[in-house]
Amino acid sequence: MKLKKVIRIRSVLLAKTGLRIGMSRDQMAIGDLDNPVVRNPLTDEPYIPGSSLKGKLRYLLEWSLGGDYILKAKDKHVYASPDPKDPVARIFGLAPENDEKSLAVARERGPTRLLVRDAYLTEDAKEALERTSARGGLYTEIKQEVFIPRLGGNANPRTTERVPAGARFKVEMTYRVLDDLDEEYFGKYLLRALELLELDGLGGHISRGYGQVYFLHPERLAEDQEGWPLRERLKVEEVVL
Amino acid sequence: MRATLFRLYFQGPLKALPRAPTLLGHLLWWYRYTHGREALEELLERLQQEPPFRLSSVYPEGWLPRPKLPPVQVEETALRKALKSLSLVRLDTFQALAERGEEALLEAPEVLGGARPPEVRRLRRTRVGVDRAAGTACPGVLFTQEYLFPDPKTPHALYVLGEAPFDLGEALAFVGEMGYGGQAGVGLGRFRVEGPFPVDLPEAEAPNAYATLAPGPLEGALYYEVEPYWGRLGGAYVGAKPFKRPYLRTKEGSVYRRPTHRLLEVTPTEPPEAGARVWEALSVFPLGVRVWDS
Repeated sequence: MKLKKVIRIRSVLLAKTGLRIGMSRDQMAIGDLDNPVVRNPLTDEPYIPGSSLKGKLRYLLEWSLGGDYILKAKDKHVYASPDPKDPVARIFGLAPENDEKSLAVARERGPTRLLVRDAYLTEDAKEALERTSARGGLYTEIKQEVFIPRLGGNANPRTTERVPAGARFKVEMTYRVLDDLDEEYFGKYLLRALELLELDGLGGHISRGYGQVYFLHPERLAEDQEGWPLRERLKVEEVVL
Repeated sequence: MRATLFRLYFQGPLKALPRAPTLLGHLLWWYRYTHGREALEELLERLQQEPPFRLSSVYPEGWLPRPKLPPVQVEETALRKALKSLSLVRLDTFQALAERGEEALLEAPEVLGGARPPEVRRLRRTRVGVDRAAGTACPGVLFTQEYLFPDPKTPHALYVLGEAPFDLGEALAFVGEMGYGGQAGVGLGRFRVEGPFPVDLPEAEAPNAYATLAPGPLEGALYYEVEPYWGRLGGAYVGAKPFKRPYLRTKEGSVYRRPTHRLLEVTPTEPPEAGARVWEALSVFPLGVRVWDS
C-alpha cells in the first residue's frame, strides 16, 4: 500500500439560509444566549467544524446507500462493514472491532481517505457580517422563535443564534488516493455526498429552513454559477508531494 | 549552538503542540509512503546508532523550555509561585540560566511579570453521535473534546541538529498538509512551514551538562521530570488496538550529563501486524548548561 497521490478540493460554501452549528457552554452569565453557535476562540468568528461537515457527508452517503448502513448501525453508532472495499469506511474511516477478522479487514482497507478541514469565513463575508451586530450577535443573528402550545395558545419564546443567509466559508478537503478504487470512489461517492448535502442541509433545524448550502468555485464569479453542475463549482487539484 | 530552524504556522486547531518523538513518527510514515518499507527499515537501522539528526519539540519562536536545574530557594510567596508556574523562558533568559543557574530567574522578566509566551486559546466542544435511523442525537454518544487554537500568525519553532537523510522541508510540508496528531481527518493539526534557516541557540560557554529540547530516555538524566507515556500507533497501524507499550520518559528541559540517545522498543504485546516492531526514538536535543552541583 503506497500513497499514489493526494487530491485537494477547494470551494466556497454559501449559506443560502441561516446556518446553525451549535455548541454548549461550560459557564453561562445572566442574560447569555442558551443556544450559541460554535466560534473560533481566537477571533470569536463562527466557523464550520470539519467534523460537522464530514459527519453530515457520511450520514447522507450512508442513507443514499441504505441497507446495513441504517439497519445495523443502531447499537454501534456507525455500521462496521466487513468488506475492505466498503466505500463509506474507505472514504470516511472506521475504527474496527477488537477482533482478528476486523483488524485484518482494517489493514487491507488502509487509512481514512478524506480529510475535511474546518471552514472559516471568507474575508468579504467577515466584512459583510460585521454589520450584523445591530441584530444582536457578533457575525451572527439572534433569531427569536415562538413555540405555541396547542391548547391555550400562549407564546413560549426561545432565542437561537445562527449565521445569517449569505455568509460564505472557505471549504477545503483532501482526498488520499492509494489505489485505483479510491480514484473511482472519488467521483462515484464523494461528489455524490457533496451533491446530497446541497439537496439536504448542514447544521441544525434543517426541517425549518436552516442550513441550505451551495458550493461555489473560489475563483469564479458567484453570480454566474447558479445552476452549474457541482463538479464545475469545485476547484479540484492534485497536491505536489 | 548552531542549529536549523523551521517555522510552523498552525492553520487551525490541534490537540497538542508537536513533540519530538511523535513528529519524528509522522515524518517516518511519510518516508515509508514515499520511499517504501525497505528504505524505512534501513533508516531505522541507522537510527539505532548515533542518530544523523535530532528534532526538538515545537515551541513559540523565541521561547524555550525552562531547564530543570537545581531550584533556587525563595521565601516570598508571590515570587515562589511565579517561579513554580514558569515552564517556558525567553532565549536570553535561557542563556542566563545556562550560565548562572536558577539564581538568574530572580531578575528575569518572565518572573517579574513583564514577559509571557504567546497565548494558545482553548475551546471545549461537546459533540454527539448521530443515530443513523432517526437522524437525531444518538443516546449515549455524547462526548467533550478540548482543542488548542494557536494564533495562525505566530511562528512556532522546530529546531534540528545534524543533517536529515531526506528533504526535511518537503516531509514537514506533507505532515502539515495532512495534519499532525489526533483527528487529522476532521481538519486538526494543519500547519504551513517556512525554512530551513540557520539559527544560534543559547548555551553556556563551558557546559558540564545538557538541557534537552525533546523528551529523553531515563538513562543518563541528571535533573529531570518524568512522564508516563502511552503512545498510539500511527499511519496504517491506526486501528482497534491503537496503543504502543507504555513507558517512562523525561520531559523537555530535563538535564543530562551527555547527549544521550535511545531507540526504545515499544511493540505492544500483540503487534499491529505479524513481524512488525515498533520503536520510539528518544534523542536528547542538547543545549549546554553549567550545573553547580557538588
